[in-house]
Amino acid sequence: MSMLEVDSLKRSFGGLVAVRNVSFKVDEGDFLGLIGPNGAGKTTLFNVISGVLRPSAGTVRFLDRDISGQPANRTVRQGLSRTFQAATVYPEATVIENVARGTLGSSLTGLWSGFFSRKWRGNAEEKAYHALDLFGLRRRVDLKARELSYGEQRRLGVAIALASEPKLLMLDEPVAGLNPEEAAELASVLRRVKSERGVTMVMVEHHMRTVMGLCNRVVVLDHGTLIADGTPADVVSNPLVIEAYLGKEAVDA
Amino acid sequence: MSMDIILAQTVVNGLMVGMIYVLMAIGFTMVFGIMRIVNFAHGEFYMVGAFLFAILYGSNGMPFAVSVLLAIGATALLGLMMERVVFRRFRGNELNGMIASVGVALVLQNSALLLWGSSARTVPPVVSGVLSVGGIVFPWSRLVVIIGAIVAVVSLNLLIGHTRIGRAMRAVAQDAEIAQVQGIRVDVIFPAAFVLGVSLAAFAGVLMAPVLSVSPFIGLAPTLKAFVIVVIGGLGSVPGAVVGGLLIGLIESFAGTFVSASLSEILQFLVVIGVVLLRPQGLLGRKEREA
Amino acid sequence: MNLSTTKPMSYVAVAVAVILAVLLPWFAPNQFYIHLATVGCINLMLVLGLAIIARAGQLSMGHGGFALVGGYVSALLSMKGWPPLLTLFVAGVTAAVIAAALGWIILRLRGVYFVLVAFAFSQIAVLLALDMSSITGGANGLVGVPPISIFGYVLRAKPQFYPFALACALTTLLLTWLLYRSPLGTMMAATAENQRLTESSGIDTHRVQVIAFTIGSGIAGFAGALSTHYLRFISPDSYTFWESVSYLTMLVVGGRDGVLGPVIGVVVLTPLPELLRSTEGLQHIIYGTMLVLCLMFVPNGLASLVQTWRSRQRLARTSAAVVAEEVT
Repeated sequence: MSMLEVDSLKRSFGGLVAVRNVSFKVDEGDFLGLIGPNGAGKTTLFNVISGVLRPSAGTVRFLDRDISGQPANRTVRQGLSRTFQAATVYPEATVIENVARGTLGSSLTGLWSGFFSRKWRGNAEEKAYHALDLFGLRRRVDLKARELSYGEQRRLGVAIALASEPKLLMLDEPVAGLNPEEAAELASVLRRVKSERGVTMVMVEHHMRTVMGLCNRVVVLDHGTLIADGTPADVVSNPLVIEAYLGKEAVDA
Repeated sequence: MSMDIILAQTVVNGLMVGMIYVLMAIGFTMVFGIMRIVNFAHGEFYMVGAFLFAILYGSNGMPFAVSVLLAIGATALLGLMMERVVFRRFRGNELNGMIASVGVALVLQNSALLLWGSSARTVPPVVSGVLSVGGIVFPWSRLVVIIGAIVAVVSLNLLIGHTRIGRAMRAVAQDAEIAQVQGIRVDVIFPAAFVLGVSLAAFAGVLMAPVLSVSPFIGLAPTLKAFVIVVIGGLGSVPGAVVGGLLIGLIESFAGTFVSASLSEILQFLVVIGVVLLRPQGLLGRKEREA
Repeated sequence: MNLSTTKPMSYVAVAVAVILAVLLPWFAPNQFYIHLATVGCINLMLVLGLAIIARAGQLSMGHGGFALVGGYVSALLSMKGWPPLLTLFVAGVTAAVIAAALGWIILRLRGVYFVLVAFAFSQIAVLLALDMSSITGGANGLVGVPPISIFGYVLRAKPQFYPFALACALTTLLLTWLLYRSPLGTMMAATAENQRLTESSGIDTHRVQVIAFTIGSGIAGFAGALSTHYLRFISPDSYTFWESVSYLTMLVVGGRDGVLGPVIGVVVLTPLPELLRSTEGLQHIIYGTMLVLCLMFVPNGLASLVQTWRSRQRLARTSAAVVAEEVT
């Protein structure tokens, strides 16, 4: 049984078909890269899987449960979290508060508990400190999130997503806008998170070096259709993939 | 009177009242569509227009056309001032802009109270008598309002659909950032839209002044009606405001004639809830794109 | 403002304030001040209710409507013979139930629609109070509402009512403070700050907002009932648009973030209407102007100024400590 199974997924907006008959699997322990030229439908696919959008057709199964079209917050509670590209943090809250909030949905506390004792906050902050250590944000704990640099905010966004202790983490272009050192640093953090916490990962990314360095499998989307599925080496030498990228560039040139 | 006549009269009354509501609502929905401001002070501009007209035409006996133009013009100027001084600062901030409009409403209403007193004034009717067609009665005073409303709606449609500035407003309503990038002077469009919305409210006030009495407190009801109509019709949709206004007018007329006034209000509220449940963006509203 | 790392106002300051409030009847020069304080307590409850709703990111322009509903429910039931102490709670629960139903429907909409429909609700409430005159007494309202009696002690005179009102207000204050520190309160703040991110942390933000709306409006219903038994009177004029606006003004001017804001807002703005009763128009203009000015220049309210002052103090102390360390 795969962890995530996407089957004949379709999503259209009015007349425009953004995602067309896409099927693939993610097994436990994978680090899957989702790549493709701009406008290929990667973000839409991402949004459908994570529950931000409903599918027009097809199904998404997570841990052998059909999650197609269910609200995103339920999907997260079942163990599938994601990050965003923009508006990734709580700008006015401190860094430690940001991550602590990330623990609320999934953890121990129900909606009505924690009224009279402060224990829940101690637990939440302890978990948060661990996460912040991992992401190199320990020395920033008391700053407001909006005072962090762009790279630090992106890292914080990932830390918040991890705070919900997911089994599968979906990352939306995690290194976009980062300089090469920051990108490499984040990549090594992701590697550590995967090995230390056993989190399966799916990543949408344009940055090829990061994809090649981290992913054990790559899936390629072009104009909403899946055109390749294999190891990074396979995919890079796949003629269809090359055409998708170079062909588009030739047209635009 | 036969049932047919009563029914027909009720429909006609409903449409007449509805058109008045439409006039009040289109200015409001336009301002929201273009500037994303929920203007709680909308009805107060209606009140100011009515008051100025009452003072110029009713108390000072100035010629009709001059009074109308001056009343609307002065209110438009007031609106422009408000946009510059207050609303401009809240461009990005829908929530605070709305709260600010509440403050503006309060200041306008009570300034009128201090300036002109709380007692209601009447304005001599512009026309009198009724038009009778097959047993159905159309009071001329109401007809004037209807005609005025239709003229306003048609003109607005022409403006928005077929002029450069109308096109610019539509572009800004769709996406202000992109419109700016395309070279549209958002700094001119926003005040223009606000002034237009305020002028429509003032025009409604001028038309209604002879029909109802004028006092500083007549602003709240039109604001509320505009809200209800616009939620039903769709925020930012002028055709939606027309549909919503007529629908509310009909409900009010039918419920008022056959049942009671309070039921009419409850019914209208239930229609709002119903629309919200079944079609959250309003009958003719645009579905908001998900992030 | 982050609540987890801000030290709470020193417990001493809070204790002193509470003691002063309790002892007010003894050093107040005349009954008017006690009346003002009672009105202030009721206002505080209403503003706290509004603050709870605002904490989850929504703005209720229908708050007065729930107060009105609560007032009438309590008046009508107590005039039928129910003990007012019970009808207070029935009023609060009624308001909460209506809010839960209404909120569940309209909170799934864009914020703007919510505001409009909530506002429409408050106006409908007033219209119904006017129209259903056989039950509500119409424009004249209900007179002779029974006073509250606690174990036989009847709160008939105004000074007798004050301690009860104060107790209710302080309890509400305490419960709000506890709510804000709890997971639910944190979820509310998160929802207001970045709803999408909160959803993606596994929290059902719609449910959180409905709960906030329910609690806040329920408190409004209770407070409306409390006021009705204090004044022994209620009418459609008791909670109009103006009242909803004044609570909003108190919240905005005082500060929307913690519990200190509502207290400041109520303390600053409650005396105004009572002092300016003769020129009602002027009083409203002042409120309206204060609201707009505050939004333009101090959008986070006066409490945020206190906050800035305190963090500057802390910064000064920390730098002094650092300097001292380096010297030794």
